[in-house]
Amino acid sequence: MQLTVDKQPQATIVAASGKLDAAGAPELETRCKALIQEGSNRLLLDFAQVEYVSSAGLRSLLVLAKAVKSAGGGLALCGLVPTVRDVMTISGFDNILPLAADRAAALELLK
Amino acid sequence: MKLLTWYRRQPVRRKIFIPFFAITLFSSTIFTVYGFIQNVRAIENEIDKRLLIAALTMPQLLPPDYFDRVQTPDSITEEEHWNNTRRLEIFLSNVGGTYLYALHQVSNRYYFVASAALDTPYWTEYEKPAPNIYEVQKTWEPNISTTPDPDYGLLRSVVMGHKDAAGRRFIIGADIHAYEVEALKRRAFLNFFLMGFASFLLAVIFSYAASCSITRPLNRLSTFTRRLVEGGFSADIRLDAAMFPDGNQTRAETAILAYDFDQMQANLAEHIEQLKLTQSARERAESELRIAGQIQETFLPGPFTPAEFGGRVQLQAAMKTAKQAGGDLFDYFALDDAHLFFAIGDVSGKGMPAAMFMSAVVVLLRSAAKQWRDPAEILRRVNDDLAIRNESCTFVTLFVGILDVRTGEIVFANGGHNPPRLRSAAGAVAAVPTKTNMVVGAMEGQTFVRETLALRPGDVLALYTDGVTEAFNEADQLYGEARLDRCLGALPAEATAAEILRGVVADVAAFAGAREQSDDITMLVLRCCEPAGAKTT
Repeated sequence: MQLTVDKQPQATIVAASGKLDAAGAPELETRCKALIQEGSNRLLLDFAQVEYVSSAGLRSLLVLAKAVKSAGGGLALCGLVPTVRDVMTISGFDNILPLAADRAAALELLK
Repeated sequence: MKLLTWYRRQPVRRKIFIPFFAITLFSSTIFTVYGFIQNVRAIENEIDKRLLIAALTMPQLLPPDYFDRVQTPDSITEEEHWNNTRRLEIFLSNVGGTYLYALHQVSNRYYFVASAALDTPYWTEYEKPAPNIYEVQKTWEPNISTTPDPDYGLLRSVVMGHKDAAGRRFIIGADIHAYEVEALKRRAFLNFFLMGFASFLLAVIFSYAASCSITRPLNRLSTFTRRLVEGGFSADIRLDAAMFPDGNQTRAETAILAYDFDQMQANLAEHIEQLKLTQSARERAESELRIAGQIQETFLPGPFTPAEFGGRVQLQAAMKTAKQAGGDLFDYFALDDAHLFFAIGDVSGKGMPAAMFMSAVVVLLRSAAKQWRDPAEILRRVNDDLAIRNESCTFVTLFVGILDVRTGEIVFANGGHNPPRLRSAAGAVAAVPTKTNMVVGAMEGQTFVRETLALRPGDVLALYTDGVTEAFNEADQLYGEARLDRCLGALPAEATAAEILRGVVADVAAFAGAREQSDDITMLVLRCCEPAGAKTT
């Protein structure tokens, strides 16, 4: 799991690539939690390069969603590949996490 | 080259000793030979000086007018001659020589007119004069030479002239046997050889001791190392502290080496001890996880008996756990004579937390199923029970169904789980269309949609966890739904639930090849059968 952080005025954009599985999920969780601690309560996760999300990955997303919510902010995802989008739909995560097609749309959702 | 190779292979002690030995041998030989040659020269000089003194002193030992009186064979009385002879003999024996004499030449013949030898009377003819007798007459200066005398052998001799008052020339000679000189030289040689040999021996002993003192600590270290290896690097095996009395505050390299070695051993023993602790901790963790897996299995139901429900339904379920204890689960039991409850689920994450969460899910699910009999309500209750104070955000995807074995109708609710596959009696395979609901345990207050599905005889419902479709092969590809559907479709129409399950598991295993299983693989297969005997509803 590779993570690139880009702090924008509207939101902190975290571009992830690789597999969000049992190995990758803690990396994303730790990094984003640190960002929330630093004050970035609006997180945009760009998943365009994420090829796979496991149940451990979903759990991490849930943890982060709760964390930004209690920090008074929000979390949005964008650029999901079809298989990852299927996982979100099947698990019902699309009901609690805003999914957007691209970054611009996601930033709109975070406003 | 060969010698050099041989030398390189020698132990350190010999490496030090061999050059020491060679240098010592060389230098003692040089010193012995040089000293001997110098000494031989000194001996020769000394003897020549002695002979010269004897020759010069001789006239003084005779009466002052003696040579003037030597005229004819009768000039000197026998008595006087023997008196002189005795005097000369005593003198010569004190000085150290063989012969001392005076010669008188009369018409090319030479006569002894004085001598230290008792066997030479006055006027005895010297019949075969040595070459130096003629030689001295050329200058009358003292002549020193080694002369072969036909009668007396090889001599070192001094001959010189002596004038009497009338100016007549006499020849005075002093000789010593060459073999006596040689004996002196031999003694000198023996002395020098013994001295040289003694110093050589001393140097050899010293260098041997020195080489041993260098290699002894090395030998002790190597013995220690061997002991260490045999003793499994035990902390009890320590180096004798006498080998480094001043710790590392010394300039003796071997002591420093020994000290460092001892420190290394102490550190090594500590590391090994720590390693053992770490190892045992890991082994404990692994065994705990294994036991957790065993406990987990006890939460799973026992085998489904075909006789249940009059053979109208076959059910086969199996779980193949990955290396770590996982969070997959399945369950089934008869609610009454006509209703079969079944469920499959996958807890997020792996290891001990997932295993513990799974146990809670199974317990909650069973009690809720017995109480509510409605899959949607069951999920709602389980969800709320799990979600309260669920700080870790662990959740479970659950597919829960209740089959009415009389009609084949299934009432189900899907809490974020993969849609099951349905194979019709005709062989067509498709995903069961389900409404999407949230996963179970993530958030309180969720509601779940209750749905229905009708199974006809010969239909097969295959429930699975993502361990099946998300099995990776060596090329990092996913098994996927398409392969699963193809596999299910390819299995014979009359295949039992057990055969279908085995077929899919085998297909997934063949696909994964040598790739390690990363997630639990769990399947639950339901097959609706023609009722045994007459067709009734």
